[in-house]
Amino acid sequence: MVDPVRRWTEGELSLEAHDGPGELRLVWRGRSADREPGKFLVPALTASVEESGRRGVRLCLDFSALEYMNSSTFTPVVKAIDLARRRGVAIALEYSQAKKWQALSFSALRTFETADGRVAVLGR
Amino acid sequence: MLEKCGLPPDESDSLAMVAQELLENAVKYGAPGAEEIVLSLRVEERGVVVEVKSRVGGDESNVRAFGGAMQRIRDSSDSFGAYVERLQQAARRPYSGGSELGLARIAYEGRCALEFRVDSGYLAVSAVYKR
Repeated sequence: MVDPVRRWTEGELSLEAHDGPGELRLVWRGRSADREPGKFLVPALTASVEESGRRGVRLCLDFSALEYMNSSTFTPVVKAIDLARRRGVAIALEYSQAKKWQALSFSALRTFETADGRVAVLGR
Repeated sequence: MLEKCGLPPDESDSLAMVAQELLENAVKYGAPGAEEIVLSLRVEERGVVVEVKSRVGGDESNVRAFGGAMQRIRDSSDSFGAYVERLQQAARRPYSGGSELGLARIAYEGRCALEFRVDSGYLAVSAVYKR
């Protein structure tokens, strides 16, 4: 039986890719506190943007279960947004409004939202 | 530890983030192989001071570059705007170590004022949180 969930794990952080209706959902779990998280995240996020583009689905980065991310983690994330935008791939960032640090961190990322909704930052 | 000092959970989480960002800065930009990095925390009635002290890495230009980054953050009257500006720059630039995102995040999310001093080859960076 094929496991429909693909996982990337590095240290305390794991990403799980779930295929959903009209989207590829990348669920972030644990803590992202590596000094150079780009080494791990850039390949995973680039592959996810490319896969979403091939399948014509939205890429959803789901941070709601994440416990912590350092500032170095934001760079690969905003670069993935930029890559998706340039490739014409719709991308959404979901976070938990119940977690104060997430509400603060992700409110700043709203600067990347587009009027057509192709880049969206959504508090749940 | 912070909650044991009487700080509410939200403030504790925020200051833990501040401490982590300062420590990461010290590891990234401090002297390679430095034997110690000192983290101190002072809880006062009117605020909290988080300080990280480490041996200066590289030459004088490193300290000047760090001082410039600190000054840019301190000069900004809008910590949210400064943080957003650095996020936008990070999205456009090739990867590099000097995004200043950590310092801007301390100012915005941590609601801290930043200070630093260089003394006898050591750099001490403080984040001052007013309650």
